[in-house]
Amino acid sequence: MVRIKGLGIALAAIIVSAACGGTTAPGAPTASTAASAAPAANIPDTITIGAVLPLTGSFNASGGYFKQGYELATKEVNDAGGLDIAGKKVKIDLQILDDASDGTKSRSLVEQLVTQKKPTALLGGYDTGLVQAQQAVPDQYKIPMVEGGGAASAIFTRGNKYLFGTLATIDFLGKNTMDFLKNWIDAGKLPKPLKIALTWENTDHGKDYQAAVQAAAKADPSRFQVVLDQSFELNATDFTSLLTQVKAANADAFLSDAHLPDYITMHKQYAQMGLSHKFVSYGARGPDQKGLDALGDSANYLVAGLWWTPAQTDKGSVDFTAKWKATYNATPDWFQALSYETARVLFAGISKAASVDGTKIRDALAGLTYTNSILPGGTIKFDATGKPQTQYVMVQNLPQRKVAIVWPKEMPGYTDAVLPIPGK
Amino acid sequence: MSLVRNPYVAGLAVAVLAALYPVVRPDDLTVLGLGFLTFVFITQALSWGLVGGYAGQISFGFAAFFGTGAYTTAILWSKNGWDPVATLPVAGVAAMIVAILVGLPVFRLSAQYFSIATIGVGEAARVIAINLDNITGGASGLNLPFNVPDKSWFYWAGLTLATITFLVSAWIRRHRFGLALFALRMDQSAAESVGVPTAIFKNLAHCVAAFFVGTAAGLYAMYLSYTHPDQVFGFDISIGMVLMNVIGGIGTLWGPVLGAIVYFPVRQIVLSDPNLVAVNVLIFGALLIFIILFEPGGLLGLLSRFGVVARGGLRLRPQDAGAIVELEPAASADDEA
Amino acid sequence: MYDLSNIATLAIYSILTGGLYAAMSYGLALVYGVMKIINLAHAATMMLAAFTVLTFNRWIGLDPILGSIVVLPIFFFAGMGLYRVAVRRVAAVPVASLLLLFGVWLVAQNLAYIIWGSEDQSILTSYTFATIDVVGIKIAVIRIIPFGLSIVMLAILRWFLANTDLGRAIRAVSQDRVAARLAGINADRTATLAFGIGTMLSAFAGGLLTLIFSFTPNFGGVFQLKSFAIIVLGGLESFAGVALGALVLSTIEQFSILIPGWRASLVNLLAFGLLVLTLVVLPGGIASLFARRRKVAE
Repeated sequence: MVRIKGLGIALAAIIVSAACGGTTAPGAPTASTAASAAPAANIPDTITIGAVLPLTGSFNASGGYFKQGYELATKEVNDAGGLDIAGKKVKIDLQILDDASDGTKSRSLVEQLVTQKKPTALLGGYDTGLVQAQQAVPDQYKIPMVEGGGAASAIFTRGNKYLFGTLATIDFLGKNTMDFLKNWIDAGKLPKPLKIALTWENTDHGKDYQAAVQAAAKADPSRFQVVLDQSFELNATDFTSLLTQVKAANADAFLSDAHLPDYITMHKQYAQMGLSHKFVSYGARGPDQKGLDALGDSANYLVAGLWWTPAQTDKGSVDFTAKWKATYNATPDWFQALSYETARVLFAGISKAASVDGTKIRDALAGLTYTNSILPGGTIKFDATGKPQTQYVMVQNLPQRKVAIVWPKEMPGYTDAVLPIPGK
Repeated sequence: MSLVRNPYVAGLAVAVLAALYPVVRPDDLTVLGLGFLTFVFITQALSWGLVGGYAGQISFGFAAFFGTGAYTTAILWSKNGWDPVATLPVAGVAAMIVAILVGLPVFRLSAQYFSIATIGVGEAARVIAINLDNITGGASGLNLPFNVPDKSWFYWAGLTLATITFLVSAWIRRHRFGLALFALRMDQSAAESVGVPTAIFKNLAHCVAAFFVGTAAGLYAMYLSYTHPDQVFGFDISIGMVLMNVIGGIGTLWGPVLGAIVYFPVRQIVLSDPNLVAVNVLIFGALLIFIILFEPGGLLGLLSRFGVVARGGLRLRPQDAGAIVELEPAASADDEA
Repeated sequence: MYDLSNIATLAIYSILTGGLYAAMSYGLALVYGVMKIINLAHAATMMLAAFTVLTFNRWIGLDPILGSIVVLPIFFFAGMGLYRVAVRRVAAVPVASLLLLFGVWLVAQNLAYIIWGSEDQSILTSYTFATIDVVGIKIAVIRIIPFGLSIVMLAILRWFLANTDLGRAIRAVSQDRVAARLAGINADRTATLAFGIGTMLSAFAGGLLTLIFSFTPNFGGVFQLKSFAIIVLGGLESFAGVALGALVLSTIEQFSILIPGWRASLVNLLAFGLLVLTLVVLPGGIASLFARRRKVAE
């Protein structure tokens, strides 16, 4: 026994010494091979753009939409002869790998892409967790990445220089929702102070939302009063006890940040238990086709904050919806629009850089104001951390599966929201 | 020949060969990165094999150790400003402490109930981790610094750890400790009746295994610059360790190594092939079914059929059932006759 | 604040959810009782049943409750087939069978992706939002139905085990395989039928879950882990114990919300914590507190 214990201590010592001895250069980021700058004049005929997406595993539906969006944007450029880089038309070779929704594989495959295919730039993965697993790579290899699949604000707090996002972060969603509510409180449609029951999925998504709602409420106590603040587990099997707590809180408004399956389950139980509030929102969920299929009329009058909606009437969005229907025979949702725009923003950045050098493209993206966007507001640009300066559009479900744009007021096609929610 | 059969010599020889790769191809970052992660998986598999293979205590809860190790490194590094390398042994020790806390009650159960209980332990650890926002960052995970050593360093560090784990596993196999584990796997009460303190040995194997898993997890967190409870405490981590052993050859010395190579890099190649992506889980599930049904000795057993390696270790045949669980009085397959 | 009606709501939903949990655990308990193996393909069976019910619903508008019954023969034979072809070869080694069935789960998931895709699916019926008022508390019909059927299942199972030859054979094999064989029972045939019935029970539960939840090929994993906790709480081999375990778990889960400062996201910790605690402290399950150990029939 003594020998065995001794062995354990000896082993610990060996590992420490071996490991310390090996640390010749901590702090020195990996030298990049791919970024060894090509002369600006030397533009290749084809550039490679890489992406690692969850095509199987738990996020594979969304991963599939992103793949379609990236592919459509790439096809358009190639069909038009190629991307204009310093006056030369360059074809784009899009390489997409599957990480099976697993963080380790995602990271490892992005590195594999970077080191083997030597891409000029990267497009991001889907879901915040997988984007976070990937996000060390762009800076280590000095290859810029534009991502439209990770919305947690924490992504942009890590000092990345080569990462840019197009998906407005969830804290904006919470803030937008509160601005919207403030407008209707002041218009006399909602009570003042508005008592809010807040529930959120225990993910980075939900935490961002909760923090933003709480911050807005604390800053404006005369209008907002959060009477319940409760988290729930992702893919929960039952919400009745949570909803009983919501009921007991006697709130005017019910705000709940949830992913699609939980939104469906929770709102079904909400309706069955006979709950009602003057305002109900499930964060970014509401007009989803699958949600409307599952919830029928009980989904009427829900308000959602989205990154894009096919209800948008601006010309770019209408054209995009038509193009998407012609290509994939389906109505696009924000996933498709965001991935399409993400790829287009990256292409615009490369074009602006007039170079295939990673650092030059990075600088071009950092200073880019992309104006032809179909995203709400019409422009995409980034702050110093790479965080997108884009907006949400808020929509409300109306009977007969209609979706109305109800915020911001400047949006084309804006109509006033139906508030308070008509009682049943 | 006898040198090849000596596991220390063979293991070190393979390790030295592997260690040369970054010297020859320092720019092959694909292989270096993949190699590092493979070494992490090899360490996991070998460690699990001490408890699941040698002692026959099939645990589905090793993610608790991996997660503990990863978070120990992550927290000491990002919040307390430690040098990440100095956190590695602490990560191992933290995992060991968890192993003791889990092992003391749970090892009192018979082998099969032990397996069920570990599923609960592993998942409970994940739920706790994802709700301890102040310590683990909760569902946001912990973002770690990007300034890490280069790929070759990770490759060598992973290789060193995997090699040490291998040597420890080989040493245990040949000594009284290992014999005691094999004895309690065969028949716990018989082992006890001849004076083997089975509870102590089980917990000891658990601790040694947890130490290496925790240390490997610390390295892994450094490499990824990011930890999330669902990723390091996930059930996938636990089941992965079981699968690597079963695929390679459970209860053997080289089986976990072989299993880890099939489980990680080979799967990555499958995932990189657009034609195979849609069926990658199917291929893997089918391989698992095939191995269980037709070659319970795993790939090592398959190789031994062709005389490539000597047969050994623990097989999952009904006639060997006593090896891992209390013997079922009758094997149902005989009933037909 | 919480008034009496809120507490009553929690109590009523504890019972209803308990019924749902019990329905999805009987199949696991039966297979464990007879073969002492944990059917990790339980989640796969529930998921495949849910999609089969969905397919019938989309195809000929079949009601999901009727659909859950219509699919039973398919799953009965599929379960027996799976046992004959694969499980029986390793049935004597619980860990091998566990991993084999895990492999089956992986394959089933991937096949479901290929056949049905990965989007969330759900079934909307005319009674999805129907409720019954009981002293001012609204109770959803789609929660009452699985509860009622779960009680019917329990009654049929108990009758079946007590009054049919096969049922008695199942009990005998569960209690002592060797003695059962000595008494002339064909243990292999019994196990095959029991696996078929167990699969059928899981499929029935899967079909009923489509009333309440949306589902994807990943569906079932959370329910499966809860079912483990439930059969362990129930003492692993008794159907009444399973029903009791389900009720205990659902009650603790529902009422946990009353704990001050409780985060509802901790709810699954209750199931896993109870699983470990029960095994360590009370290996016979809760039922052992009430009854002398009588197996399966109870």
